[in-house]
Amino acid sequence: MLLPTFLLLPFLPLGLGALSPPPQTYINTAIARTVELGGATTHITTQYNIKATSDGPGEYHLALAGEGDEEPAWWEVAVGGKPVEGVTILDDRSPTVSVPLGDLKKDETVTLSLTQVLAHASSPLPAAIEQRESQYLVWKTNSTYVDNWYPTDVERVKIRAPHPSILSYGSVPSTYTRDSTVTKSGATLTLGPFHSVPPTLGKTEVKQQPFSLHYEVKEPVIGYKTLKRSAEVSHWGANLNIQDDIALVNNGAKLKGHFSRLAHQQSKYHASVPAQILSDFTLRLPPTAHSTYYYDTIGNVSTSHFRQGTTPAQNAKSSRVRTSPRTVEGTLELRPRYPLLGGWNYTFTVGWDMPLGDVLKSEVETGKKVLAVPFLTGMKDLVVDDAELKIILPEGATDVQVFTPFPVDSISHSTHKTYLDTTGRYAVTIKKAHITENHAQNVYVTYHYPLSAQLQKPITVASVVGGLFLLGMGLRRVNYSIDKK
Amino acid sequence: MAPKTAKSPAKSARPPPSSSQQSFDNSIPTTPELETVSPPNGATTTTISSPSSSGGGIFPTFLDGKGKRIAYPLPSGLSPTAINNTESLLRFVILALICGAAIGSRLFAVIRFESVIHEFDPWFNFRASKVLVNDGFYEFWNWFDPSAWYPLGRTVGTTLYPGLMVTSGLIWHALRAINMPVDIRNVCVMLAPGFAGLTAWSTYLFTAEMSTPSAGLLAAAFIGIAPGYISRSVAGSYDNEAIAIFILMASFYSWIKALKTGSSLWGMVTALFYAWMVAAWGGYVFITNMIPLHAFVLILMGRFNNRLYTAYSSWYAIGTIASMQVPFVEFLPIRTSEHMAALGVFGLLQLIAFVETVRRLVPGKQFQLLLRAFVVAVFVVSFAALVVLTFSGWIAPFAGRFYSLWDTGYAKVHMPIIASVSEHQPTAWPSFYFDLEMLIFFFPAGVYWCFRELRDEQVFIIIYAVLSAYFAGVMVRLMLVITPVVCVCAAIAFSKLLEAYIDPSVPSDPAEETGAAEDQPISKSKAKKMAATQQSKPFSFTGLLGGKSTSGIFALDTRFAVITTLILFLFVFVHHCTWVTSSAYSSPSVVLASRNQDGSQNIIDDFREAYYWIRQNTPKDAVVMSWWDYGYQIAGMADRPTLVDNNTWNNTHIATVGKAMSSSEDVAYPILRKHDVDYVLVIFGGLLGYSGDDINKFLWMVRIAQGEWPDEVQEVNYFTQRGEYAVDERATPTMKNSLMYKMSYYRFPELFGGHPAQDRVRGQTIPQTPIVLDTLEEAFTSENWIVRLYKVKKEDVIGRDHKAVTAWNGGKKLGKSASASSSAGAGVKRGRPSM
Repeated sequence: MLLPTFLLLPFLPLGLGALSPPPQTYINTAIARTVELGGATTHITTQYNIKATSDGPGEYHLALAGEGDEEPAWWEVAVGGKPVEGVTILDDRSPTVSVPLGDLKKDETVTLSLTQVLAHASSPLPAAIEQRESQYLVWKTNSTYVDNWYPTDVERVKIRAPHPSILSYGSVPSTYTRDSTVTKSGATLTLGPFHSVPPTLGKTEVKQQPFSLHYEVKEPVIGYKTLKRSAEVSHWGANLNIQDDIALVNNGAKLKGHFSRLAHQQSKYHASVPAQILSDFTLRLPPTAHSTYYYDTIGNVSTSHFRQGTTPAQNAKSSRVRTSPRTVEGTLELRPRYPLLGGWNYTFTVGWDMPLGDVLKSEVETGKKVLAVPFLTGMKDLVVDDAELKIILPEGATDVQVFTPFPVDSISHSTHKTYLDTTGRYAVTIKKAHITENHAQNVYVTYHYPLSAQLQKPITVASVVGGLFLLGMGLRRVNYSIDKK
Repeated sequence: MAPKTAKSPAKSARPPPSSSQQSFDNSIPTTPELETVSPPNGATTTTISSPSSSGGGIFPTFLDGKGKRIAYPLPSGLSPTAINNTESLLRFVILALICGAAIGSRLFAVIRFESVIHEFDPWFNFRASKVLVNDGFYEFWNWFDPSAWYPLGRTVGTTLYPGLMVTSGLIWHALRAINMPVDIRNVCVMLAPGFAGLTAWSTYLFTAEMSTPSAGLLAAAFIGIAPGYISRSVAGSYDNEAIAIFILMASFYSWIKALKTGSSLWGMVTALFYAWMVAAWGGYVFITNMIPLHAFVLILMGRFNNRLYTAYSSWYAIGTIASMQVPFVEFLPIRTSEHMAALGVFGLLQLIAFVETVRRLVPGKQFQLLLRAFVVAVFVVSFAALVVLTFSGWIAPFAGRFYSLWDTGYAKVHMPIIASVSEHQPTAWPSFYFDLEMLIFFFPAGVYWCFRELRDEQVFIIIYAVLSAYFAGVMVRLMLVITPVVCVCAAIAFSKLLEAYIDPSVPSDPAEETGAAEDQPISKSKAKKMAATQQSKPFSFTGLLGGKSTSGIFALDTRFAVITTLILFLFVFVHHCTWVTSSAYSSPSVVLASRNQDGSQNIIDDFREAYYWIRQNTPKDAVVMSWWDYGYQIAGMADRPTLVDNNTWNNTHIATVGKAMSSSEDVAYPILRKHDVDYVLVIFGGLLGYSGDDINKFLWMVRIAQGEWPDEVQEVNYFTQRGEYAVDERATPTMKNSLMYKMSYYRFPELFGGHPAQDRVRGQTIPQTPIVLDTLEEAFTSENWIVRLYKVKKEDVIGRDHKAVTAWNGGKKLGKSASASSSAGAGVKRGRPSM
């Protein structure tokens, strides 16, 4: 199996400190940005129409955020609709990447699109509400204009709230506009169009202004404070076990006063459960996942349902997999022990098994195993503050290499002992902060697993048991009596 | 009925062995049981004697190789070694299956619910085990738990029996050592079933010492599934009793072994099991008194010998020192009355041994008389010294719980807390049958058999039977203690019956029936006993009891009838045990189950819902007040400090909680604030019909509070004029104003939307008048309203009293909406604070 080559990109940031402005070899003929507001995440898509102002303009500097802003939790650059290779991060403080646009001639144009996901860009306002009240968030940005290293002819920013009820929004100075600066239609807010905007980054005369939007959300704002996933490979059982330890929190407006079960039950009766209450949620599992479990510190949580997915019969590698002509994902409907109101926590563990054949391939010529483990099981509008993935390879695996689909904070290697191990298993731990639904991609691990390693455990166990029998036989034949008869 | 005519062909075939020869055979104990089966050469000669036609019964008899008449053909050509080996293999396999059944029948709760710790006390044991495995042994030994009995705290290390936790901790560490990481919770849950398997094994050994290995197997099977024992040892019932019964049987077995062999090694084994028992369960006092009593009775029976001396002395010396290592016990073995019997018998044995030695060396009748007088004198003097020491306070008199064993009314008067526990109530008759089924009928028969043989070990069984029968009658909880001895006795009786009816031998000469009793067909083990008691047998029964009768009972139809009946008994017993276990003893009580209309199971998980909510969403140091029943669960599942818990050591503290629950808000609020209470938790079953709720326990809270504050809390005030315990319109003002009533029914009628609010436990209608809580606010209520949690308000920031604040808030609402009740409006006028 071939690995996607973009995984192998070097991820090291090149320089530190303030970035000097790039040579002004490009101009943006048009920028269209769409901001999709959500609860915990904000999805931003920006289309750049770029024109080279000279031959061989070099690399394009693309700002991911404004000066002093945090890097987005997730971003992706595409040129002409295709993912681009060779994107490098230039600076941490005003996050910028350099994008190779190829050898352009003067006045040649190219379309670049940037997708970003911001975590925790919205915060509840008011910060505490009563049980029956609706929940409003305020979204804030430091940059009204799209942050840019190059001058822009025309730019337009659309902000789409999830629901038309928008309480208030900020204003935009009319410096670069001719007519209305902010237009609201339904749930969408349009800023601009702005004309002839100079570069906003570097030494610039443009004064960025913060902009905010106060809007209603009809879904609970949920997040994982921590996610600890462990993936344990068993070649004997042909099984991959995935277990997630999750600290769930309702990040919405905090509950003011106390929870009234009576009101909750009555609202259920009237089919109008307030939006900020999280009663249940669904995880989408791989089609071949089976044997799910769901428990927390004090035992099994009985309020869950699992609908096992199905897969075509020829793909079924285990008798525990359901088959049908279509491939259907498994759904695990989880109901926490209690409804989660704003600010409430809930810690729990879910796990499942799946056939190893679905995620493990062998290279025929080298015998190398390639294992794909999803970093997380995504959920819409979810932010994980701290995620940790521990991949436990079988005992005796060697030559372990890890390939992550995105830069991670740390990768560490350790030994994990379980289930009658003698030498212990190779474990890889990957950590990353701030991950979103878009990070639900596979981490690839390659390793060698010789036959001798596979036989290690049965032989050890058999010899220990046999030894015990021999010892017993020997001890039975010894006379311990001090009586010399 | 006797087929007299059948005799002659038999006789003609081969002369019957003479009676003297047979008795000689019987007197050799090592003779294998089936030696009567012929040696190889005569093996094939099983001949059918002519069927008898007399008396109408068809009774074919067979001849074995030796020419003895047997009732049915036996496989022949087997060498004694082969038979022996087969027997021991079968015994092993059967015992293994019994252990499997014992474990399996305790897993109902795990299969039906999950691997969860049950009930109340096990939660504390589980929590202590977690401390042991997470923080290490010394942390556990010195564990001071500040979160229990807030604000007093509890020095756990010296106030618990650590045996259980140490046992599971050792198992956990052993599994870790071979890299089998098992969650400590699973070790704890599976500990009781695992030890039940071991109990079956030790009961087998014990009974085999008393009677035959076959009886041992029966006893093992009985104890394996007897509900009386299962009730305390299902999976998840992680309590001291879970391992105690195994240790009890093992120490009794090793005691019998020590007594029989006179080996100090076995005495030491007994002592070690005893020490384990002391570390594990307060019921160790039973062993402490059982063994001395046995020794004492043996002495009185004139059966003193060196084996008894060795066994007892080694047990007592090592056992006492070992038991004193447990911090909770320490010097109790020499300071309390419960242990004095053991010490006394120890002294007595020394005296007797001394006298015996002297007697052997010194002749002379007078001198011996003098010695005996000396023994009696010393005994009397030391007894007097004991009494004096007790009254002068050096030796603590019997503890209260001990008195309640002799006077069942004692606890109710002096210790309402002990009396309030349902398992401390006297046993009802049906529960004997419920817990032991047919065993309870076979039990006296087994005791009778012990009387018949009356060797040293059978004396033990008799004493055990008598004592435990008494205790089991006094306290439901002690059904546990009688169960093993019932199983052993019933197994002895059962196996005697089966032996008599399966044994193929037929009396060879009916004419000899009138002869010596020894002539009856006897199996090897019986023969062994007969040989032992041959000389001393004072009388012999005739008829059925003597195992001798007209030979009609040797016919196959009689055998078949009796054995079928017995097997039917066994089947019914198994069925009963399974049913009782599954329906009565396998509920974790933390999780409840009900059936939906379509028959599917609906799990009611309110306790854990609320406890987990507390654990996740309240500050770590929030103090939760509840009735003591839930203390351990709150500490275990919610991980929060509690005021009182199931370790009911401080009566005043419990009474304080009782007072707070049973008083009005004005009285209760200062108590709550003084104890830093943040949350008050009540259990309310009115919506669901869960009868074990706090309103039903309320009278005990009142009684216990009344014990401390007779002037402030009076039980009478909670009953209506007609003496009814009512929660509806008829409820007394004291009742309606009590914190417990208010918290239970707060906003409950609103749930019914104008219809009568029916309390489904008490079948009464709760008045619609809204209940006003001034000093508490509802913080959480579980899905089925079983757990209701209230937050205690802090003092008002501007110094108003809470009534005024409620009124003020009510008034504000009145200003906004016209729907507020007029009573709230009245409150405004009265209570508007001066600001």
